[in-house]
Amino acid sequence: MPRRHRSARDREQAQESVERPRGIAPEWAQVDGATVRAVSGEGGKTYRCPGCHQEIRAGTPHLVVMIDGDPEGRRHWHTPCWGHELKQRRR
Amino acid sequence: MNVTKRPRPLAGSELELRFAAGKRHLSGLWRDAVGARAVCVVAHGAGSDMRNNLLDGITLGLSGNEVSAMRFNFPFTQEGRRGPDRPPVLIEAWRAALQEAERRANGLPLVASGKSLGGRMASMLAAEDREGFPGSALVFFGYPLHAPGRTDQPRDAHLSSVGVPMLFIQGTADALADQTLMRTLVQRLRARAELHLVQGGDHSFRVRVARRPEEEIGKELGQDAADFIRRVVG
Repeated sequence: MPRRHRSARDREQAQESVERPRGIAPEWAQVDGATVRAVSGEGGKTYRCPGCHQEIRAGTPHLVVMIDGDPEGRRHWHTPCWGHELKQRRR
Repeated sequence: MNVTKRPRPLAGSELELRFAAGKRHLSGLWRDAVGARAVCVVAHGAGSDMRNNLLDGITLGLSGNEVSAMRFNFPFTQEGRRGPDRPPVLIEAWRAALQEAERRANGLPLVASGKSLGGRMASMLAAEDREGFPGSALVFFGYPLHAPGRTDQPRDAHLSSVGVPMLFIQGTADALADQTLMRTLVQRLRARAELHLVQGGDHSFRVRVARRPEEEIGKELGQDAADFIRRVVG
C-alpha cells in the first residue's frame, strides 16, 4: 500500500480523537453484521492483525471487531487494514 | 444453454453452480429434494461462507423434507474478505440468487432464508420490492434484531412492509435477539410471523451444556423450516 503523508494523517487522527467519544469507531468502519469499537491500544498488549498478519504494537490506536456468529470471536485490526477488508475488489 | 438437458444431481449430493450478480460471479450449491414441493434459498451469515456445518445441516434438513435447497456466497466471502459487504451489495446478490433459483425451480414456489445477516438482507429485499419479490415466504435462522446489548436500536422497522409469511427461528440465549423484544415483534406482525424458539440456543444455536455437532443442530432447524414451508406454500 502506498504511504500517505504522515503529518497530515497524524493531524487528522488527533482531531478525531478530540471530537469523538472514546470507543466509538468512525462511521466508515461500521458495518452490518459486525460490532466495531475503537480502542486506544494503551493496554500494553501487542496483537496480531488478521488483515496484514503484522503486529499491532502496544499504544497504537486500532479497532476491535466482533463479527456476528464468527467462532473466532473478537479480533484486533489495524484501522487501515479493516478499511481495506471492507472495500470491494474492483473488477 | 439448453435447460432441459441439464444433468440432474444424484439424490443427497450437491450440484455446484455459479451465477452472475452484477459484475461479479458467485458460487452456489444446489441440493435436490425427493418429491420437492418448494425451493428454499439459504444465505450465510457474516461469520462464515456458505460451506459451514450449520448450513450443511440446514440444507440436509430441508431436502430430507421435500424442500430443495440452494445456498450461495455473498461477494465478500466469495472474494475471501472477512468484512461484510454493505447492504446494497448483499441485496443485489440476493436478487441474483433468487433469479438463479427461479431458473432451476421448475415452477416450484421459492422461499428466501438465511442465517443472521443473510436472512435480514432477504427481508430488506422483500420489504423494498414488495410487488416484485419472487419469494413466497421468509425463514430467519437467528434474526439479528439488534447489536449485542443495543436493545434500544432494534432493526425491525422494515419488517412491517414485508408481505409474505415469516418464520423466526431463534435461540433463547441469543445476544442479538432479546426474547421479550422478539415476542413483541412477532405479535406486532400478527398472522404473517411465527416464532420458533430453540431453548438455550445462542446466535449460532449452540446450547452450552449439550455440545451437539453443528450439522445435527442445522438438520433439525432445516426440518422445522421445511414443516413451515410446506404448510404455507406447499
